[in-house]
Amino acid sequence: MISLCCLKNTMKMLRTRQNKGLGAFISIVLITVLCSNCTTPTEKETIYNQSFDSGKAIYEDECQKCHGADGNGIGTLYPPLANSDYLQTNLDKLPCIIYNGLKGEITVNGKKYNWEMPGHKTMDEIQMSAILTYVQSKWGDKKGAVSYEGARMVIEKCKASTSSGL
Amino acid sequence: MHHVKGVAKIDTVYHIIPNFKVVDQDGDTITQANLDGKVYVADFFFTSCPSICPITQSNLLGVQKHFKNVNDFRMISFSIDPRHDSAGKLKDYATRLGADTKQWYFVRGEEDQIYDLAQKGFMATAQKDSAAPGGFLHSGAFMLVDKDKRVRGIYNGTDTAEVARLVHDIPVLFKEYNEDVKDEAK
Repeated sequence: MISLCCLKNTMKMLRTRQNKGLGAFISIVLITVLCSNCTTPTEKETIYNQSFDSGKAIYEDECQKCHGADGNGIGTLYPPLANSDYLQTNLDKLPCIIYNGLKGEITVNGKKYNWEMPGHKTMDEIQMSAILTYVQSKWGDKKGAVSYEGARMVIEKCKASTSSGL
Repeated sequence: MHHVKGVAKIDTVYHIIPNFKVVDQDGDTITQANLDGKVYVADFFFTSCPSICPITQSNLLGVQKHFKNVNDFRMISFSIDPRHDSAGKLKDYATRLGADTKQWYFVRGEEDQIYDLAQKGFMATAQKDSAAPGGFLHSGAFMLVDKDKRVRGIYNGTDTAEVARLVHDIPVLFKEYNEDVKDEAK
């Protein structure tokens, strides 16, 4: 995909050049420079992209109504995920918060929130890996796909703790 | 029945919202008298609703921003879960949402009265249903009611385009009463 796109842009540049001689020279240089970056996505990137996209779909179905499409939350009812100091410092607790829900007062960016979040105990490891990949990389500054194996382990851990682990 | 150019026409008979008596987030009684001479928007929700209410209530908050200084405009959200939604709970919810409760009432009443009012009064769906998310089945509709207690529009409160239509229709409805109402968020 990237290679195709790269070639297409270069061809377009070639066609728009008025000065054929100089244009051809510049174009050759451009092809060399641009195409050195033209690589097909690695398997790792493909897995990450797929996981991110599935996670986005789950987020839109399950999380967005409260936390918002842009992760800004609503008032002091539902906390933000975007630029949230709470999320940044509690990334390790995120899986169990999603799985078990969250009850009690928390402070996010200096504001107090206290509205029960329902759990998502029917989530399987595939869904959990996807939603974690999405939320962590979008708002948690933690890039990369969460593996099914990793998700299976956190689900087992969350099942063992009745609350979110806070 | 009336006639237009000799042709018999059936009159549009509007359904009138029956009287109700509920209690708001401050514990004050709210009846139709509080809505006399007001154009208002009504909906049915509950504070612990895990499904559509966060969207509908957030959209209503958006509607309020458009008309927050309009004297003759009100909004009323009826809880369909009065067992859990005490006045205090409604107050907490409204405050956290950022609603102006001078214009927007969050109310509770007897369960049966609320379901009856929803279904027979506002023609909205609201009932207990253990299979529905959170235990209640409800439609998420916004009802636009005129000063004569007639439902003049029903909008899907989860749909941004429909909510925009409601925001557009409110000043149009006020026009019928010769009131110029400006969209303050424009």
